[in-house]
Amino acid sequence: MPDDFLLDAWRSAVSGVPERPHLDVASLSRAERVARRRRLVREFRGLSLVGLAAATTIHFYDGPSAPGAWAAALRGGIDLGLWIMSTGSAVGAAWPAVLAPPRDASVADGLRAHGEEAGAGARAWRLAFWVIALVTAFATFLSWGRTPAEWAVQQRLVIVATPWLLTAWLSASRLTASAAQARALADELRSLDE
Amino acid sequence: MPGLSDEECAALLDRNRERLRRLAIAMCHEEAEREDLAQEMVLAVWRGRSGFRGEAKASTWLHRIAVTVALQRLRRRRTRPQPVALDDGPEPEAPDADAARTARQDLLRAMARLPDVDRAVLALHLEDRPLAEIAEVVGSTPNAIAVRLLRIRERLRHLLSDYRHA
Repeated sequence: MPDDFLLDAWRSAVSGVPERPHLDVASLSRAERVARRRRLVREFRGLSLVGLAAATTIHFYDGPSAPGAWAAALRGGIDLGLWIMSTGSAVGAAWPAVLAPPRDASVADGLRAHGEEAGAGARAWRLAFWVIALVTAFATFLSWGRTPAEWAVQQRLVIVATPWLLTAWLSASRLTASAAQARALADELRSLDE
Repeated sequence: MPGLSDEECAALLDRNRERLRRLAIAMCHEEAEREDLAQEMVLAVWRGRSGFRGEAKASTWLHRIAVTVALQRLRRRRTRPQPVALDDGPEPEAPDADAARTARQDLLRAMARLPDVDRAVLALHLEDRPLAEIAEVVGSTPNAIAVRLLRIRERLRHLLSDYRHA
């Protein structure tokens, strides 16, 4: 039982709060949906701007000189693909949770596990960043000084790669910070045993 | 047990919402932040309902998630620039401040000066959680928690005494 001086002061500190509405499945589901939507909107805001800028550039770009429906369809398909990729990258950036996921483990164990997973995620994103960067650079090198049509395709590749590079970099940074935070907290909790 | 059903989890949260609110008060000194923290705890428990394995009591599981959320949120906030804290010295009392309010403010102020982990242990202790359960929640041993609680109480006693004499 807690010390009396503490308990008395604590009861006084937490008293006098108005009654709140009951928590039920409907209200919790609604709150979860709202929270998820807010998070996605926040994540999308930044990266969708990149996608928008890239798609607008492509839309106004004259593209390969081959006239006709086929070229237009190709350009439309690439634009659509770009949009899907940009959206995918935004979702990808939203995916790595900064907070440790709820676990049925002690706080210290949960944080340690999260630290390891976030660290592994950060390494994977960092690897993805370098792979995308190298492939893009290599493709740019290969198409240097080629025909305008090849050069146009190359430009599209760079535009498509940009949001992914940004996403990979941001995700790696966020996961690295999250892993460091989880490890530091787990170490603090370990100090309880000292 | 393969997770909690929606209804079971909602009932658990409804039964424990005051407990989570008190935990948020203990963990967070800033009033505006407490509501957000309590809400974040509730949502984290709700999101994790399918992960409950039934190896510990549901209340232990709930506290594990709530304490993790609180510790992470506090640390995350600490890495961002914070407004300068003005609560190190004695606060000027409002004309209508009574003894109870002062005692309440003093306790919350003193708790705010404890390390986050200590505050979490204390908050669980103030909820009358047994030592074994607190140890199970944070991942320590009952003996270590008992020793830590002695130190925390001693520190709080000193801080409160300083406030009273200030």
